Amino acid sequence: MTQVATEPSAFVEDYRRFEQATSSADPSWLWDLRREGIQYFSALGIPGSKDEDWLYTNTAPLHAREFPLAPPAEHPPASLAAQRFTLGLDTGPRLVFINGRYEPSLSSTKDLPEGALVMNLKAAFDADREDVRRRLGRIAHAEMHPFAALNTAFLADGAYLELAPGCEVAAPIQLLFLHAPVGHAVAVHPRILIAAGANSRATIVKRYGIECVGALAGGTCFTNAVSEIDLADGADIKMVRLQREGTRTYHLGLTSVRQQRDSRFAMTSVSLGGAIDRHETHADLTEEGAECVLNGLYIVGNEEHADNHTVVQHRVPHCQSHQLFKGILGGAARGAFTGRVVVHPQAQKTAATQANHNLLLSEHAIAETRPQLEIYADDVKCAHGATIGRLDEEALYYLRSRAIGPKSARNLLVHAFASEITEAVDNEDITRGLEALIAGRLETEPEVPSNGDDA
Amino acid sequence: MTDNKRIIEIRDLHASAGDKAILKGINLSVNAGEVHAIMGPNGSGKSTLARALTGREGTDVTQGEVLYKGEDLLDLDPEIRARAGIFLAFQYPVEIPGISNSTLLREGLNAVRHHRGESELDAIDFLQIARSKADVLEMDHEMLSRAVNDGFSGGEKKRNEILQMLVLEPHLGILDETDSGLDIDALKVVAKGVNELRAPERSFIVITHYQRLLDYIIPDFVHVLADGRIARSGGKELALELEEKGYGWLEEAPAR
Repeated sequence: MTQVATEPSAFVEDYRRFEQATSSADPSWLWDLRREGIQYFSALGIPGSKDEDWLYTNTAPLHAREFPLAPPAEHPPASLAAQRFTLGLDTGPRLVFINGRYEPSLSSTKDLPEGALVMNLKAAFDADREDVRRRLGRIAHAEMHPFAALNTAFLADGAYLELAPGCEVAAPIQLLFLHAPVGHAVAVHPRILIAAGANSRATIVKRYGIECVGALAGGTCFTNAVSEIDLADGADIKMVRLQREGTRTYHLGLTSVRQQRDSRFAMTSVSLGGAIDRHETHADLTEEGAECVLNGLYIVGNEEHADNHTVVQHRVPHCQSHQLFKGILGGAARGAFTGRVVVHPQAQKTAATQANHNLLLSEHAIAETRPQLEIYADDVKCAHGATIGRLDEEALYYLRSRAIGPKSARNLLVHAFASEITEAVDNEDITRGLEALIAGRLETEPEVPSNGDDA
Repeated sequence: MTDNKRIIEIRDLHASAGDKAILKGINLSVNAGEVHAIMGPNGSGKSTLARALTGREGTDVTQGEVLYKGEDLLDLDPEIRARAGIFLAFQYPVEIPGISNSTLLREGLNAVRHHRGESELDAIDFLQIARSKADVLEMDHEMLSRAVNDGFSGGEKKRNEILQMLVLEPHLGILDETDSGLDIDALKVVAKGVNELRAPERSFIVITHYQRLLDYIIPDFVHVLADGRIARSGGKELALELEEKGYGWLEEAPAR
């Protein structure tokens, strides 16, 4: 698995086809951005395991097979099975994308307060919106990140959210990206652009899922998602990322955040498996008083792989960042956490914590953990820690001594381990919705091993 | 006493933890309705006896047998023993973040009810029971929604053990040094919980280092454990004698 990025990628070929098929009426600045994207991608190449940042992510499948841009779904769903895709949030604003394309019939932008703009990017391109031109590609750096570059090259649609200063959106805004299999391997490059004005406030759920109705025997999907989030002074944005595209998906996600004075960004990333699910979060704390909370939960089994990668840059004094990532690993799955907190020389009075805890449910599961602090300032409070362990035998016995069977006892303990993450989501509906999905996930794989029968 | 009133019969029980032999031939019978106190110095095997009776892994029974209501107990898994009506109040209750007290209690109670052929309780009926038991122990109802023992004080943990016992209504309650670390007020509340459960069909084994608890839970019998054997048995006055004389005499006196 030591790939060297030298050979021309099939993605570059596919870009030529995309270029021909895509409307020349798109604004010229967008074409410039796309061309830059494919150039950066060509120059950077697909990283291999020799690249320190990609040590735990096997990118070989991206070399080995072609992932042409996804065509429109053959049988787009007529409705959203509410509980499967909307986290129990049946109402409220949402944008739905099927195979990368906006699906207005499933979306709703009613009930938004004044000052909140929620629209799809294609519509913004068609209207040649100046604000989108000004903002797109400023926070996720295509020149440094091959997959951000690739996403930018294929930029065609996605979600655009703009919150005016002081705007508060009470209901969670849901962004659903669904893969409807078409019978062969495909790629989608979903993009999210969020500009949160001063003292604005919102909860945003981005969800990547698979629509199986009518096409169960679909091909694999390479999802290459990029989100750019800009928080102005005092903005308070909560985000939930939920990835559940099935065991055959290769998902690479990048969430890039820039935070200005006294802003607060809190993200909970929940990964329920995939051939590969790698999620990177880059948070840039550029002004004093910013707070960044990154929580994550990954549940993988079989031969699945979950990889969480965070980089938090403390550039100025008096900022806080807190990270808690938990992995539940069964089968022969692999879970990795690489977290970097960089405290720059002038960033005095930084408070940063970072923790990664892993629960191994099988002999063959592997957890890799690399919490890293790079501290160049002297007056800071930073802590990090990592654990890898099995279910607590004492707790198991305690539950069994209360008449609870071993299988139920194990399930309770696994849910308890996960609940620290789900309970931290500051929205009861979302917490319950996530718990239901997690319960469903744990029922199938990874198997909670059992030494005895439950009577 | 006839055999059909016998709750538990321990015959020549030997047990070890790791390579170390701890219990070296315990004989003890407890009949329905009786409270037996087991006293003894540290290291005499009191807690090991509790663990052996509840099926704790790491405590190996090497010899002897235990009959619970006439049936062999030692081959049963811990949850089966619990469903059959054996309850251990832990000396060191385990903290379980992420599982609420009420979840633990409801899962446990429903498993017991299922075993008894009774229907499972719904959330509302369960809560009513749990709250009424909490009231007996002067516990805030809010304790039911807190994670099991997580961040509880020593006294709260012990009280929580008794709450679980009140909810599960065992036939044999084993209290492993439930009094240790309790102030006198907490001790009285814990004793009240135990006395609440005392009934002609229910028995208790109360393990304690000190006589103090036995002022409030009056035992029918007192046994002194020393070096893995019962060195002496008597009525409740034996506890007072121990209080006066300490355990030092055990080392000189032969078992009787």
